[in-house]
Order: sequence, then C-alpha cells, then structure tokens
Amino acid sequence: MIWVIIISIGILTFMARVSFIALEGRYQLPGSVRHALKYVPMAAMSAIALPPLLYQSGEFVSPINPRFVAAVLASWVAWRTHNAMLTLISGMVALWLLQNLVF
Amino acid sequence: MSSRQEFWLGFRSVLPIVIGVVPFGLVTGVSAINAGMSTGEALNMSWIVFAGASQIAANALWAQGAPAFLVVITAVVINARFMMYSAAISPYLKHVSWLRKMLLAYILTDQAFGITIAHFNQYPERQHKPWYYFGAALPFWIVWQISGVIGIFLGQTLPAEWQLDFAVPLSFIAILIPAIKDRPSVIAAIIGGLTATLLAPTRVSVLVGAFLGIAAGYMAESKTKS
Repeated sequence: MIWVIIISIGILTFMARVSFIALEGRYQLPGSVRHALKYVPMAAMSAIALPPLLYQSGEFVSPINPRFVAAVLASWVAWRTHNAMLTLISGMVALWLLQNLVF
Repeated sequence: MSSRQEFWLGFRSVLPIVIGVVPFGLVTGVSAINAGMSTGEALNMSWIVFAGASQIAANALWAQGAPAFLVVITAVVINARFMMYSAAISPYLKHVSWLRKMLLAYILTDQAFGITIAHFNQYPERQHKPWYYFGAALPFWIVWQISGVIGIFLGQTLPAEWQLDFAVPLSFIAILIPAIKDRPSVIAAIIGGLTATLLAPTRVSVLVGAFLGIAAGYMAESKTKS
C-alpha cells in the first residue's frame, strides 16, 4: 500500500508542476485561485507543526511542556537569525535540556 | 550571454541558499524511517515525490495508520501550490522541447521558483531563460537527495531518546517564521495550526487545518484590499 501512496503522490505532484508549463503560457490561473494558493505553505506547515506540540500520546497537554517551550525558543531563534540549521539545533538542545533539567 | 553562462549564473546564485534545505532534507529522511518505511521505500519516495512538506505530512499520516486516500489527498493539497509556480513560469519555458518541459517541471521547487522569477523580472531582456532556471533548480534537487539519504541513515542510527521526530515541527518553524510577511499570512498560520490542533485526535486534522488556514488567509487579504 505504501507504494501506491508514494507513486500516487508522485504522479499528482508532477501533474501540478507540469500543468501550466505544458499549456505553454496560453492559460493562467484565475486571480482568486492564485491568491488562495499563496497561503498553502503557511497554513499547511502550521497545521503539521502545531498539533504535536499540544497533543501528545493521545491527549491534549498544557503549553507548559518541554516540546512547546522548546518550540517557542526555536521560533525566537528563527525570528532573530533566519538560520534554519541554528533553529533546528537550538530547538533540539532546548528540548533535551528542558526534559533533563526542568520537567 | 551564452546558454552555458546563464546556467552557471543560475547555479551560482542559489548556492548561498541551497544549504538551507539540508536540515529540511535530513528531517524528511528521518521522518520516513520513523514512520516505519524501509530504506528502499524512503529512498524512492525522495526522488519520486521530491516535495518535503508533503512527504513529511504523508509520513506522519502513514505512521498513524490513516487510510491511503487521505494520505494522498493531504499531500496533494500541500503540493497544489506548484500549479501557481507552473503558471507563473510557463511563458518563459514555452519554446523548449517536451522532454525538457517535463524535466524542468519535475525539478520545480519553492526556492528555485522564487529566485528565478526575481531574476527574470530584473533582467527581462536576457536570452536563454530556461537555462538560468535549470541552473537555479538543479542544485536543490541534488542537495535534497543527498541530505535525504543522510537523514534516512540517521533515522536508523540515532537512538530514539534523541527524539528526532521533534525536528519536524522545528524545521517548519525554521521555514515559516522568516516567511511571515504580512497579516494574512500570520492569520493563515494561526487558523491552520489551531484548527489542526483541535482536530488532532482525528486523521483529517492536517487536511482541514490547511483548508481553513488557506481560506482565512485569503479572506484576510480580500478584507485588507477592500
């Protein structure tokens, strides 16, 4: 089943990429669709990233937990540095320290 | 400039930012292994799909035992944005052969699109635009595949106590926060995140969260304009 999933996502993603290129610039997306698609990365990534910070092991948890606090710290690093690697490292280190020293 | 010079110009112009996809590629590889995929499945997914956020979302849903169609739909909604890039770049690629159109479409990414369109707007008179785009897009494909392989390896090697699964939300934070430009994008992120969190016990959480977040961003933008 995983192969069906991988290949289906692969084909449909390729179709999205090739769509208008194949039409050779003769057609463009309607303005409203273009404006809506602009928000896909923001909305989707937030929808993936936030739930595991507040819903852990099958139940809702308080924001005062190691993962949420570490994520807030990492957000601050991302805001100040715009550096992905630094954000990742500081978030992981914060999680380990918080779990071992605070929580 | 010759086609070769345009290619290398594109290639060089993305080198400073291509390093930024390394952590994202690592995390995607780790997430495939954490989801229970074999090395072969994870490696093939990397080149067949070649779209990180959708791969991570699919891996997470697959690990939860979500039905296949839901995994596919969620990934496809996330990747629908490529239609927008495809439309915007299509006038510049219309004179290349079919085979090249397919190849150039396959390596289309958020970053390659952003850099290329900015260059075309700045130098509208330049020839060999497809070559510039090819040069700008290729490094992302190469670096993505390499970092994905390393991530797949790390996912199998590093101990579970390291909690590498936490790198997924972190890598999205690393992309999202610097990309916040205006109120509608903040609203899209907040509504998307909160909806998905409230629906976290269900498997449609990412899909519904993404849809409502997109709708909220769109409505906030329309309101700003009027």
